[in-house]
Amino acid sequence: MSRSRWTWPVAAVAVVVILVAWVPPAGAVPSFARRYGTSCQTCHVVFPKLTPFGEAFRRNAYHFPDGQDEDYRRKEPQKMGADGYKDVFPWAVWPGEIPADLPISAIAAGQVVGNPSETTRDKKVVLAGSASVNVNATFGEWLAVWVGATARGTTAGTLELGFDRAFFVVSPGRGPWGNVRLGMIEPGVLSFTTHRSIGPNPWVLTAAVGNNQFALEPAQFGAEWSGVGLDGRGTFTLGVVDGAGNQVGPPTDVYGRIASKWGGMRLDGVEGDGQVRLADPAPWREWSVLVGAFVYSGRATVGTEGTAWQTDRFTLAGADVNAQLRDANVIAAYTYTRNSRPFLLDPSLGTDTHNVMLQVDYVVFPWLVPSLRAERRVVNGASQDRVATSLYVLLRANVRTQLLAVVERAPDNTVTFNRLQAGLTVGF
Amino acid sequence: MVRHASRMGVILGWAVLVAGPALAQAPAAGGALAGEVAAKPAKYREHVVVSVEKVPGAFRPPAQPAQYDQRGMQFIPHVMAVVRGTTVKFLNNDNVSHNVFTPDGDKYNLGTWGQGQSQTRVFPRSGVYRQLCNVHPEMEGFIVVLDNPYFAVTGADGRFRIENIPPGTYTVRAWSEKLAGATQQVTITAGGAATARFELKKP
Repeated sequence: MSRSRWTWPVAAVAVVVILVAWVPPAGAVPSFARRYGTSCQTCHVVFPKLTPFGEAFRRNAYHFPDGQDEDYRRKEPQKMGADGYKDVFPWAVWPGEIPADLPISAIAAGQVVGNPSETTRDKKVVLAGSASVNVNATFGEWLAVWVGATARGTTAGTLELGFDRAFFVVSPGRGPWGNVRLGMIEPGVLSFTTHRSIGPNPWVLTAAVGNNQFALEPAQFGAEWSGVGLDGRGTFTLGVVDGAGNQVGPPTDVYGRIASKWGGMRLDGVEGDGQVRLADPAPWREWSVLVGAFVYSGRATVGTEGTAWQTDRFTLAGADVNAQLRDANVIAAYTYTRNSRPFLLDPSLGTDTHNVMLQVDYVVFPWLVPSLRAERRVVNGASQDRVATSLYVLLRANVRTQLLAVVERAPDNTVTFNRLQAGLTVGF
Repeated sequence: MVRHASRMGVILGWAVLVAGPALAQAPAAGGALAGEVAAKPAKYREHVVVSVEKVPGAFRPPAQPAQYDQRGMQFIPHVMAVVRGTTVKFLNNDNVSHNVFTPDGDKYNLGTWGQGQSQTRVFPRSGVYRQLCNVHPEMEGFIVVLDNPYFAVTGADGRFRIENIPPGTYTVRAWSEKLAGATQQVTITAGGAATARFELKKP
């Protein structure tokens, strides 16, 4: 496919989308720390980046692995009827339980963002901030609820309110092999998302193409079935969602992913000795490689129905490698997107988009984690690059500072120092 | 004072219940069985009934009723094992009314009574009888009725010990309210001490 006159402007739109998303979404859940009486670092390297145990906890529908959740809860849930009432039904209400404590967490974040390349003086330095509230509850072993809402200050001086995620996790088998997420979810097509990784977000490889506002992240409405098999070494994901960023409609997009992990903790968190690694002095440390691949097929309405609009059918495919090499985490990913008609002004033009990224995070100390990310996007032959470096410092397990610098090269080879950001995030 | 006397009654009742039949009827040259129950989740290693099955002989229930209390909005003990034919006296040491009923076996409902009052019931058939209170749906307890007095209920550490078992080879069963049960064969010798270890997990 030949490069068109629309390629560069469209690529620029993607850059703008990246720049306005200053504030990362909340990705840590202090209410889980309260539930088990443990530190954030049981599940997070620096929040929201997950440890192998944190990943297993997530895959177990937010329960401790191997049926050991009840042993580690600090407070027994409030019984709403003894189990014996199951045999009294329908002459009594079916028994249930609710969490012992209100499972609410809050995360406050503030940033000072410098834009060295900005020509407008009052936009050279801006303040940004967000406040998030998460409700994360489990009901027995087969149901969990996750609701996250964030109020976010924008560079335009306005306030955005919205849900980051809101879903149920149903685990009828009480195990990691069959979790169904229903609601507003992030498609599980990669081994990393903005909710469980560090560095700038969104990722370039999850950005929109043309006038089709679809992006892999943030969340979409739909359902996803995921599970762990092959002795805890393989995982699959199947999902149907409505397609984010476009007009809300019935689910039209489907996706699937398979992945396998060699070395390190099993994906379901089960250890050979039946122990849960709660007190491991280096919970992130292991030697492991996870390799995954995915396909996503979608359909989006571009424009406004009734006026100027068209349907863009698109297909994404990609693969990623997530290697934990003792204290270093190396993530590499490639995605390819084929859009049939993403441009309103040139309905006949399709696009081929290649994205590639590499990120290295290194735990210098448990409280000090630098990160380096390089990303390239090529749309119909026109390429753009982004390099981001960040430094995360845990002042306390729940108090994090971060420094972030982003340099970008546009398709016209213009290099800009787009962001220099310092922030403070507190979860409680 | 009344409450204190009632607690003493419960303790004495337990002592009679557990030790009485076995001591009265066991052959002098019996053996012991000791061991532990490991469970996943580990907290369920407590309140596991370990019992020896098909021990030959006829076993009389204890002369005194076993006492099953309701105190602090809980059934105490949470799990009580008795030999078949035992009379159980259901107490209420709370200052609120309680009820006792079960959906199991004969499906009895003993009614509702207040503090200091009691009801009794004979358990002529072996089995597991959940004890529920229709005033307080969160309350639950278990009375496990067994064919012979060779049983024990594990403590918080999961350990158990059964004394004076007639020599022979038996099936020993572990029952838990939450976990799948398990059995194993043991051989009891006169004056000997056999061991057994169970690993229970969710069904």
